[in-house]
Amino acid sequence: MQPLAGYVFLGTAMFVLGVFTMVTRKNAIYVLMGAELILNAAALNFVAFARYMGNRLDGQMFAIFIIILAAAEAAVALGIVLQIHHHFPSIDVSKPDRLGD
Amino acid sequence: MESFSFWFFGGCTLIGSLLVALCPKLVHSAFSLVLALIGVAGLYWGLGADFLGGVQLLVYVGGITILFIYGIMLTPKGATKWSLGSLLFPGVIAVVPLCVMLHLAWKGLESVIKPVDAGVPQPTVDAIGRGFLNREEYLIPFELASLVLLAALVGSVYLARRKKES
Amino acid sequence: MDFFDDATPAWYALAILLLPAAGFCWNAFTYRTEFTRKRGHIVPLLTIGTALFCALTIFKHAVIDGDVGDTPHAASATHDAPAHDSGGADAPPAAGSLADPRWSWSSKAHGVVYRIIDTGALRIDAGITIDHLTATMLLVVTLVAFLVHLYSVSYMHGDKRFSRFFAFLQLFSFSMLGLILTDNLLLLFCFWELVGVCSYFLIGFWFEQDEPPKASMKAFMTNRFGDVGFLIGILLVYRMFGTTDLAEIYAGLQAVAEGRAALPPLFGWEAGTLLTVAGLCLFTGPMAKSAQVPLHIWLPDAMAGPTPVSALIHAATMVAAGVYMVGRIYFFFTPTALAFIAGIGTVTALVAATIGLVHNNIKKVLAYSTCSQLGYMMLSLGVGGYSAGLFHLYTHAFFKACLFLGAGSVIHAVHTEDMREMGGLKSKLPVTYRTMLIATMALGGVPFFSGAFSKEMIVEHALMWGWSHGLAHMLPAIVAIGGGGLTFFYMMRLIYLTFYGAPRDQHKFEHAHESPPAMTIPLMVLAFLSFFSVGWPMPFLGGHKLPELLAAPPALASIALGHGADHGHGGFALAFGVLVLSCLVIVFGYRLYKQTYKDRNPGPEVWVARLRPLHTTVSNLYYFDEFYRATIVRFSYATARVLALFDSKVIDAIVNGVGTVGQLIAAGFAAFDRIVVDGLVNLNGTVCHALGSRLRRLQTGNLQDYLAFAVGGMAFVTLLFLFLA
Repeated sequence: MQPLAGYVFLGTAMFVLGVFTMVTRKNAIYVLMGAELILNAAALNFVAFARYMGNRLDGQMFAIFIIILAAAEAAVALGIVLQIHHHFPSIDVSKPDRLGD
Repeated sequence: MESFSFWFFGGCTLIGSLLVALCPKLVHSAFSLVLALIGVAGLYWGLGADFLGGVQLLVYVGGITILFIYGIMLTPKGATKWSLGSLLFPGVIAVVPLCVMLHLAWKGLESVIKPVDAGVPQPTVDAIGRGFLNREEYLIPFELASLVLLAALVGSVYLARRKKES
Repeated sequence: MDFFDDATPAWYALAILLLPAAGFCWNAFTYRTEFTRKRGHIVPLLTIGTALFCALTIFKHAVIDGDVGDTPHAASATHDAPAHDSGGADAPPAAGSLADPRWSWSSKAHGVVYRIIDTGALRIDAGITIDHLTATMLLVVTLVAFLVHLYSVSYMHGDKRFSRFFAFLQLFSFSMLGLILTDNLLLLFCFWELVGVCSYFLIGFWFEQDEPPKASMKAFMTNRFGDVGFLIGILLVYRMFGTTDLAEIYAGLQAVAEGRAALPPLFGWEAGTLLTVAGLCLFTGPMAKSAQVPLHIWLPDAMAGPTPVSALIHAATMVAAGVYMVGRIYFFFTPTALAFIAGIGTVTALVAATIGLVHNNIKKVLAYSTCSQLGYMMLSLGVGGYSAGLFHLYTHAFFKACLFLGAGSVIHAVHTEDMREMGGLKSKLPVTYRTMLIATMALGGVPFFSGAFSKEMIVEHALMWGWSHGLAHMLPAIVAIGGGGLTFFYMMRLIYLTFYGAPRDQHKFEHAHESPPAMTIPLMVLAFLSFFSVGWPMPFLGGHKLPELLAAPPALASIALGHGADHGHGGFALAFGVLVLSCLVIVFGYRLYKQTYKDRNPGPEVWVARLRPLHTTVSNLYYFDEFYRATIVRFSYATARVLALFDSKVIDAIVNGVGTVGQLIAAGFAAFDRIVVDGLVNLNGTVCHALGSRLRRLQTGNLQDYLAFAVGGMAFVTLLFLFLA
């Protein structure tokens, strides 16, 4: 059986790349993609650990819930992006840097 | 076989993620993300989570990615120009956790978690379905998730609606 | 089984005491609410009604049933003696023992004690003592208070401080009941002052008017004179016995009387002088409170307060507190002190009665009558008629309250207090008229009415005292007998001027109308009580037993000084003689009234003309006020002026000097403040500002920076764990 460490490494790499994307890119769509990467990293870890602790179902359940929440998040976040685009001429996330009134 | 699928799909995932992070063009990144997500779905299959892999393909690859591409079409074109100054600090904070995790993954993990091999995994669709509808397992989170989705639906419609100009 | 076998009476007594206090608090703290402003009488009526019920219970067990009246035990022994096991098991006091033979119940014997002060040297334990005197007083006070509360609902209706009036009534009830229940001289003094201040509040209740504030101030200041003496007396007693607990004082004096102990030397006085001086000092309190000459001047002025107050405080209860107090410490008075008390009582009875003959204000006539009757009580106590004096206090409370409430009803009807503007009201106010007539009969001592019983006992004692002490000591007896005629005369004059004859003010007469039931019912109850409670046909409320139950304690002070106790009973012959004599005097008084007012042969004007100088003197109240104004008030003002001069010249100079020095010191401190303290504060501010202006650059408002910080922090923590692990 493939060692657990491989999956953990993959998850870590996805997480780190997701954070990197979120931090470096100005475009809001990129930020959302980074978030998706991070969520997938977490879900992958769940499933891998569940597999390696006796084929348990809990990990998969949590992964399913993560996917559900990610879908909801993506929908709401894109709505917000549209609003930003409408409000500012661009979707640069460094533009909205103060609270509105 | 399992080893092959891990290396193949793991490679897809890693390369896809790297491209997402580094591609200068948005459209390229979005398709790289598709690659990474398909890789994750393959990993799920390799881990015996057949239902989950299907969901991953359907929801992520089929749904969320389409959403992104739709979003991309609404935004102006433009490419990211990398510079050393903008990469330095993010690079440092990305590399440090990576090193720590690598260290943990190779050295400490086996001593913390004793893997239990329970044989070849069985198909999980039946078990997951029963788990969702069992009051003592996941019925309430399941119902709550439907509520969350409904709220997200209404909320995103409200947000995306074109406001009447004042 | 037996009501007085355990601590039960203490809870009843506490309920009686604390219910009015609760009522006061309720009215005081909710006075803003609509309910209390409009219906401020409901809670007070409930509390005082419940207190009345408790008092009735105690009275029933103590007096009517005489539960333990036949098993006397020494009041002094209550501290260590266990409660008696069963009736009859107690041995009667040994022959020659001076233990108090009267029955009394002390909460201290049953563990109900409230330690108020314990400084080591001075210990004050508040306990509750109940004996026949207390039980009777409780009933009288709660009953009259309840009726006055009821009466006030109607009398004070529409007053803008309606609820405040009831709050004060409640506070007064609380203080008066505390005064009765306490067993400690110092606490008695505290309650004594409390009733005084309630009296002050209530006399000055209508403080917008001209007269009430002055009258309340006068009452308060006059009482100060008496209270100073009282306080000195308490201090003397404390020096003598080292305690202010009445039972312990009794025990101490008992030891002296039995020759087991001696009084400590004080100022080099011998025991007799010491006891007399202390007794007289203590007596000055009652002298002011019970309006005895020469401190009586405040009582008539106190009539400026609302009439229910006059009935409750200045007729039935508070002024009687002085008499009650003398009764409480009766064992303490030496023969000299008692003679002084008798003398004061005699003078008061005579002086007040004569003023009552000529005054035209209906309430003031009643006030002087009260004064005179209080003189009677003091006289009685002074001549050794302990039970007679307290019995008179009991009967007087009812009929005098009835008279005052009746007067209130009349005033309510005609809106004047001047009897010259009344007349002929008999047809208009039938209930008021009848009840007042009954009370007048009782006050006048007409046989078979309650007043007659107590008055005849007083006369009897006065006669025996005069007989045994020589001719000069017959004066109290003469005044007591003659005063009966005067009393009857001035009361019939009051009745005549108010109710008989032709109306002298037609307008007021036509507008007069009988008072509502809330006012007439208390009148009827009180009239009933002044006739039947101790009257002849039926032994109602245990009244017939009272004279025996209110037996005098051993005159310890007299015995300690080598005098025998000169108690004695004159027997049937004397009693009958006194009865006949009293009847004759009353008939004489009635004849005089009839001749003067009814037949006008000659009319009162003729008498005034004939006795011009005497009438002028009496009309001017014997010039007491003028005398005080010329001496005490003037002296006070002069002293005040001198002190003011001293103040402005000497004290102000010292104060100014201190002020200048203070300013100099302050200037020094100010410099220190400016340089050192402000410097530190400014340094603090500068450092904070510098730090802040650098740190604020981190707050970019950019989401990505924040995310980077968060992940950086996470990385740092992970590293930390890694190295620590």
